[in-house]
Order: sequence, then C-alpha cells, then structure tokens
Amino acid sequence: MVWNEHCTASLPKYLIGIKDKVGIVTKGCDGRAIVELIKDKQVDRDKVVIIAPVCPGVKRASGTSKEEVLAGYCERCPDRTSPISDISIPGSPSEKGAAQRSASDAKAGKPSKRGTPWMEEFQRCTKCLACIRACPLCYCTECELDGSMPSLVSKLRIPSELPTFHLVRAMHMAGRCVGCGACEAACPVDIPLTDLYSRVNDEVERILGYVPGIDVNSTPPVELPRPKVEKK
Amino acid sequence: MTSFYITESSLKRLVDQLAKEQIVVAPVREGSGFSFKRIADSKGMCLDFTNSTIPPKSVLLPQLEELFTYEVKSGNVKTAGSAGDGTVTLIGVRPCDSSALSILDRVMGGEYVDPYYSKNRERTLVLGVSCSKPESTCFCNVFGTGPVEGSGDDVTFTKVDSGYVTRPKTGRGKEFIKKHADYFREATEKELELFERESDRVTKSMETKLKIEGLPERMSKAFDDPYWQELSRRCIECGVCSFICPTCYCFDVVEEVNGNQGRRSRGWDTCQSCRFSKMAGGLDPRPTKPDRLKHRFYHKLQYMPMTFGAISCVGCGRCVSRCPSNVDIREVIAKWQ
Repeated sequence: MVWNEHCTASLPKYLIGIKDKVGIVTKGCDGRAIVELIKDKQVDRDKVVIIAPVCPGVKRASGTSKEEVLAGYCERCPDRTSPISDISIPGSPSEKGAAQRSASDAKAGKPSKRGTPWMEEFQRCTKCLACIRACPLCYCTECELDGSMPSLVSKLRIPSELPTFHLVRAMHMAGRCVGCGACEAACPVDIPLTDLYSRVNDEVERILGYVPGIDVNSTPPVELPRPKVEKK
Repeated sequence: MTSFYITESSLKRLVDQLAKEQIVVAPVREGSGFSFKRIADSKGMCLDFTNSTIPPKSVLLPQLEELFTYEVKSGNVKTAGSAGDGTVTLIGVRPCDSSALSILDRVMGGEYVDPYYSKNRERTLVLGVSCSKPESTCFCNVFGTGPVEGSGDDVTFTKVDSGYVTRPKTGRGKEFIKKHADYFREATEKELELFERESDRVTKSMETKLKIEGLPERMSKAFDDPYWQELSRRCIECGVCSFICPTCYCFDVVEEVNGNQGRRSRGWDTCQSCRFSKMAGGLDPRPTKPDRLKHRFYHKLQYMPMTFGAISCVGCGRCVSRCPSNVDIREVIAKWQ
C-alpha cells in the first residue's frame, strides 16, 4: 500500500456499484464523500469498512518551477480525518494540529476572484469531462453535460458554451462538493475547479446552513419533500 | 544533405519576419505549462519548453473545426466551405509530436483522404526542434520517434551553443532555407561535431527499455486475457489520455441550427466515453470499461501496425503523466513485449 502526499485520486469513486463488502482507506475528504454517497443511497454503509488514518495532504507541482506544494484544496481542508470510520488510525499530534485549522484560517486561504478571471480559466478547458469522471459525487449514469441528447451543451468543445458547462457543473456541486480535489488532479489543463466549488459551497452554508460530508443523518439542503405514504 | 546554422538572434528575427507575413504557431508559456498558440512576434515564443499539454496536432486537426455553413433561402440550400487558407509555419515541434504527424498522415492522407486535415497539412510547414532534456515519462527512444528528429519535420533545428544546427528534411524544408538564406550560413565542422555529441548525449539520457518487435502479433493472441479486466479496474474513463494524445484522431460531428441557417462542425471525441461506440438501435460493441480501455491500447499497438504499418504511440509520455489513476502504456507494452 502507498499512503503519501501523492495519493490524489478519490477512492470512494470506486465504491459506486460494488456489490461485495469492501474495505477502503480514506483521506478526510474521501470520508466526507462516502458520507454524501451514503445519503444519496449510492453506497451501503454496511458494506464498507472504513479505515481512517490522518491524511498528510496531497502535494502538486506548482508554477513553472514544478516545485511541489500542498494543493490549494488541502489548504482549505476542514478536517484531514474521515468523519466516519470503522477503524481509525490516530496520526501524530503535529499532523493533526496542522490539519484542523481554525475556520478563519480556512477562509483566509479562499481565493476571491470573480467574473472575468474565471471566464479565462474556462477557455482553457478541453471539455474532456475528466472532472466529471473523476468526481466521487458524480455518479449519474446520464449526465446532462456530456452531450447526450437532449443536452444543455454540445458534446464538442464550443468556446461559447464552456462557461455554461462549468457553471452548470458548479451549481450541481453546491452543497455536495467535499473538496477532495479529484477533479483538479484529473484536469489536464489545471483549471482550479475546487476554488469555484468551494465558493458555491460557502453560499449554501451561508443561506441554508448546510455543510456536506459531516453527518450521515443530516438532510441534504435541496432534498424535495417526500409525500408521506399513509398505511391503510 | 548540407547542414546549416542559425544563431538564436537570427532565428528570432526570422520568426518576427514570418509572423508579419503569415500565421506562425509556436510553443508559449501558459500557466505552469506550455501550449501551441499563434504568435505575433518572437517575444512569446519559448523553444526551451517541455511537452505542451495539448499536442500541436491541434493546429492540423483542431479540437473544434467548422466544416461548412449553410443557409436555406426560398427552397434553395446554399453551403459555404470554411477551410482556412494562407500558409502556416508551425515552429517548435518536438520529435515525438512531429512523428505523430506522419502517423496522422497515414490515416488522414492514405487510402482515404480527409480533405480538411490534408488541406491543413499542405499549408503547414513543420519546423521541428530536437529535445534537449527528456522528462522521466518520455520514451520516444523505444519507437525511434525521437529525441533528435521527428519524421514529420520539414526542417529540424538542434540547439548547439547559442544557435541551432539546421537540417532540411524535405524539399519544402530546403526551399524554406533557400528563401531565407540571409538568416542561415553553412554549419562549420566544429558545430557539426558538437551536434553529433549533443544528439548522442540526449539519446543516451533516455533509459526506458522496451522491446516492440512482435508486439502486435503477441497482442493479437491476448485479446481475452484477464489482464485487461485487472488493468481497467483503476481506470475512471475520464478520457484525458485521448484528448492529449498526439496520434488520437477520432472525431464526432455536430450540427448547430439557428432558424434557416446552420453550421456543421467536428471535434475531438474519445473512445473512453461510454457513448462513443453506441449505435442506433442500442447495440454497443464495447459495452464495458475493460472493453473500452483495451480498445485504446489495441488501437495504438495492434490495429495501427496491422493496418497502417506503424505503432501509433510516439512515447511523448503525456498520457503517462496526466492519467489521474496511473494507467501506464509503458506497463502494457512491458507486459506483452
């Protein structure tokens, strides 16, 4: 097993559709993703054994020097250990201290760009859909963004549609993104997607008071009220 | 064939002049990487670059290419072609990407001619630049597609001292040097010796050892091997590998209609998408993930050598370094070598 700062992939993605009982080693964000997947009935809690060590945070090459630094989404990570676990492996206190940053610290790391810079980032997009495929919370078998008919955006990379593509995806991540950065790690042109999704998440938290990936029993913010079926 | 020499400053002046007259596409810095873009002068150009994320095939086979537009007017349909014109100079193509172009030529300009690609290819002059520092993921030495010269080059530039040893490879390349003879001079003995030494150094710096003799034959017997199931378990079907591959050429065609006008375009598609091989009526010859991942490797390593006589991997290493789940074509070749 390899457990280090290069484990960028999101493992919960592989849980979707597995029928047998499996064990999974989780980073903090992976645990949050599993929480959301359980809520969405994509993963059966009884069929996963969650092993939760303290995540060291993942490192990515940055800038032209290719020097490796802690990924932006790990800077913002609220908790580097999984919120749910069957077997938890305590980390060294120093790691834990660094991981559990105060809320203000996490906020300080947030980018503040709006508008135009994003439009420029989007124009780099190759529309390969790797962000969707890599995301542990994108489990839809029919995605309205992958160009199947009827579609919101074309299957091809039409420049004028790129903002639509990204903004629709951002809206779908609102109150769902757990900040694992799998999309960013998969993106071939390094669009800082988690910066965008964390901003949308902030709005959900501000307006609806919901933070994804904390509690299996909390209700998702935009869940439709289910009609109560009275037993006769 | 005579070799020439051009100093760095002369090359810059030459590019400045070319950019005034025609379209010049060169590697430019973008974010933490590089990309091929049209330049207005030599200022943005960076020839000391590592492989761009998107290969320069995008110049000849654009990710989105308008095929034609049409208009319906009082019962008549009027169409208009939209192929670009004017000469294009594509400078700074690495040997792997250049060799990839000659593989695309086999597909798009062989028995069946793709008019759009061929037109772009005809109007594009490829000025290749030898690799000086291959990355750890590079393995062009395995296929002989680098690191000194690529088979799609019209002219190859190799950095020696503070200039480039310039070797024309095609008639078009010779003409180019003749036309701009003021910028070039014949290479001296010493420069040629340095060139040999540099070529030798770069070639020796590449350490990937893989054998490709008999690979297609061995793979044709391995189609039902459980290896493919095992390999595909980690694949997330994102398709990044095919979008950044210099030899992938599959495209899809879409139509945008607006009232009585419309436009038909084509753009890159990926065989890793679950919809790629779905047919009308619901039949799908590659219904599962192992089928699709296997198809990619078979296309590159088996179908292409059988049909077009060349393995269509050039060892640029893009898919190796960019795969989010570490699927590595070198491992596949090693398994069946």
